[in-house]
This record gives sequence, structure tokens and C-alpha cells, in this order.
Amino acid sequence: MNKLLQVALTLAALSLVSTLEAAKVGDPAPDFTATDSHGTLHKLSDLKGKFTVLEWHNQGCPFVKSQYKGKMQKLQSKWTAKGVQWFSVVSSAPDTEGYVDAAEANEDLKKTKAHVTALFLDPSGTIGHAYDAKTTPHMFIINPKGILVYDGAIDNAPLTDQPVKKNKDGEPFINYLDQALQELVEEKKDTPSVSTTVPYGCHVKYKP
Amino acid sequence: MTWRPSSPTLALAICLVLFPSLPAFSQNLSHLKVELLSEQTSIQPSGSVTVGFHFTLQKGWHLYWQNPGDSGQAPSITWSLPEGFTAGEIQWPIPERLTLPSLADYGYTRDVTFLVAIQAPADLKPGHMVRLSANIHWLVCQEICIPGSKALNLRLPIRKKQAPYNSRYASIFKSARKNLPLPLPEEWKIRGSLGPKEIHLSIDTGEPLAKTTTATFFPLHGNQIHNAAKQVSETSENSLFLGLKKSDQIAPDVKTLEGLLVVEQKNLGKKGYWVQVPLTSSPSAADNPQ
Repeated sequence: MNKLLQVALTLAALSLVSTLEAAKVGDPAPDFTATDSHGTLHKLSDLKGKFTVLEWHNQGCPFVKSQYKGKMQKLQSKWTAKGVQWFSVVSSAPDTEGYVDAAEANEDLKKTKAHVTALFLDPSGTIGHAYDAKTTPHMFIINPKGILVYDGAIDNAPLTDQPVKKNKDGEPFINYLDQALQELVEEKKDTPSVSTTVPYGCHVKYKP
Repeated sequence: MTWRPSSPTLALAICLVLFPSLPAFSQNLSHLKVELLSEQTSIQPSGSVTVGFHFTLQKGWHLYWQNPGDSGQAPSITWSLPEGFTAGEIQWPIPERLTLPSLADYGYTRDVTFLVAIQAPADLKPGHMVRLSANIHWLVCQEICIPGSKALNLRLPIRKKQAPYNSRYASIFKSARKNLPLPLPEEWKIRGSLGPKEIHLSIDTGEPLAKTTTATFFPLHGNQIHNAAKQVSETSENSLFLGLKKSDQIAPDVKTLEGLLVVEQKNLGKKGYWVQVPLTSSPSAADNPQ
């Protein structure tokens, strides 16, 4: 058992030097101050009182492109109309795929007819790391009290451009985000039936 | 200096101007070559044949394991087989850890062959041919990711007798098999303990291990271990210890950790073992109290 303790101590020492723990579902969502593509600052703690969706975005990623053939924009329109704040977040470092300056970001929003509340520019990866955003797309829902209530994939059908009834494994198609918002916003449930899934997509191109 | 092409066509044009004698890959925007090979030269009624999807990857590009890790997507196969034929699951070779800034994936950076066992029905007529068709989908990534797919076919004659092995591909199949996981040796005992922040695995092998032996764990499911965190591996006489950081998204009532335990010993190379470890909750003295 001596060796087991040694491993435990080494691991504990390693966690002390590693980055802060990202929030888990059920915990308060990490606060941040973000700059959007119009230069406006947004502080998450000032956004309480409404549901907030964070959507990690990279316009070059094939998984994102597939969602933006119409499905993502439709979802954005539907839920922003119901009072949900929807923020796209770009955490790609400069010179990586997905990186955009403010002008390019606005061009992307216009071209795709995205219906977001704002797009946050996060090239330093600060917001990405706070949420441990791994992929594009990676979706988070924060409730009006500031608690993280969903963390994971947008749906169970990667690279499926058009709406389908079943995914390629033969399972019924589920858009986890739409389902969670339906339960939280419309049905006024405290937690969605599915609050955590494994996100899929291209890796977020963090600064090394 | 990193360079981001604005379109694949522009990138290709520039490549061809600067490097006119590039190998076939650069002219193939999928960054890989894939062939469907048969281990045997024919198939018998009620027999089985192993086929292999053999990928040759352009340097710097990788494919993914069945659990791709923090990002990516595993290859998948859709079969179109004659009546009565069945195809088994992909036999996944031992993957490598692919580290990225802040993230880690599991996959293959070198040439890789995915084996599938095909089972033939009893009512096959010797002397005829069968055609096995597959559509393979993959995601190949470097810093960027490109999905791809290819329709592949194999035609095999039906013979009454067991077919000889295809010597042309013998080394490919041999290499592929060598890299397949094994069941955990019976004498080995594996235990897992679930702490507030870590999972500790202890493996009692019952045989002396070299001090330089290392172990790595590849989880089968996402959201269980923190893929990018360093795995702490220790050896002591007959036992291996592995410390794994938990994922922030792990289910609080998780009972089992399933995945591949890869043990690397000098002179014995790398061996991978499928494990299903029951986890017992235990507060660790070294963890910070919650």
C-alpha cells in the first residue's frame, strides 16, 4: 500500500500545479468578462435572470459547418425568440483554424445568418479553459440563477447536415440542447433529463 | 510559422507550384490511402475470412480509436454483403495518446489496419464469386480535420477447401494482429478505487516486473477520466499502480471503469489488455478534503 500512497501523493502534487478545476453541472457557472465582435463587454454575472447558451464555434470545422447548414440557425432563432441569451464563443488561437478578428466574426455571422445574441472573441482561451470546452461544437446551458445545467454535445448525430429521425447507429435522433431547453424553459423543470453528454467535434484550437 | 490556406484548391495549387514532385498524397486531398484487403484468397461455405481496411497516412495526419478522446471521430463501416453473410465488429489496434494544447485524443499516427471478420453462410456454391462491399467513413486530422469516405469492394471465389493465406498481404495482417489487445491474463488481479479527484488502479501480476515497466489506460467511454491529465504509473515488484485524474463530467455513481490497459516493458514491447474494473469508493488520505 506504500506504493499506492506514493502514486496518490504524486497525483495530488500534479493537480496542485495544473489549472483550476472547470465547473461541473450543478455548480455555479464560471464567471467571465467577454468582448464580443462589436467591441461590447459582457460579464456573465450581469446576465442572470435569463437562460444562457454558450456554443463553442469554429467556422472551418466540418462538424460546425454541418450544423450551420440550417439546423443551428433555426435553433438559435427559436430560443432567442423565447428569451434565451445565446452566445457563440471562438477560442481558436491566432493563426489556427476558426480564429477570427471582429470584422471576420461579423462577416461569418452575416454569411451564415446566425441568430445569436453575440459572438465572444476568446483567442487567449480564457473562457474556453474556464468551461473546459473541448470541441466545436460544445454546448453549455446556464440557468437564470447562474448554475450550469447542461454540458456536452449538441445532438447524437455528428456530421448529419439535414434533420433525420435516426442517427447512423439506428438510435432515435436527439438534439440534447433543444430537448434540455424545452424542459428547462417551457416545462420549467429544474434540471434537464440529460444534463451531461460527451461532446463531439474538432478540438478547440487553444493557444499552447 | 503556421499558414492557414483560404481554400483547399489554393493550397493544392501552391503546393504543386512549389513542390512539383510531391508524393501521391498531396494530390489526394483526403491525406491518406485506404484499401480493402483479404487475408485469404477465397472463402468456403460456413467459413470465415478476415479482411483489413489498410490505411496509409500522410505524415502528420491521424485517425481515431473507437473512443477518440477529447475530440475527433472513430472510423465507421457500413457493409453491403450478399445474403447470409455477416460482418463482425472492427478489431481496434492499440492506440496512441495524441496530445494537443490542453486536450488529448486517442488514435493512430502511422499506417494502421482495421480488421473485420466476415462469416459466410453454409449454402455457398463453390466455383462462384462473392462480392463484399463496404463504405468506410473516417475523420483524418492534423491541426484541422477532414471527414472522408470511400466505397470499397472485394471479390472472392468460393472454394470448398480452406483457402491458403494471401502471401502478398501476410506481413500487413501479421502486423495488425500483433497490435490487437488481449484479454487480461488470468493470474493478474486488477482493482480500482474511486477517490474524490482520482481513480487508482492497482494490478497484481504475480510475476516480477522490470522497474522500467509503464502502464497507460485508454478509457472506452468519454467523460470518465480526464484525458489530458498525466497518468502516474508506478511499478513495485509484482504490481503496477496507475493514478488517473477523474473527468469533471464523470457520473457520481460510476461503478465500473472499462478500457484498455497498455503495459510497456523493455524487451517485451507494448501489450494491451481489455479490462472492466469494478470501482470501490475510498477516500484517499492524500486527496484534499472536499
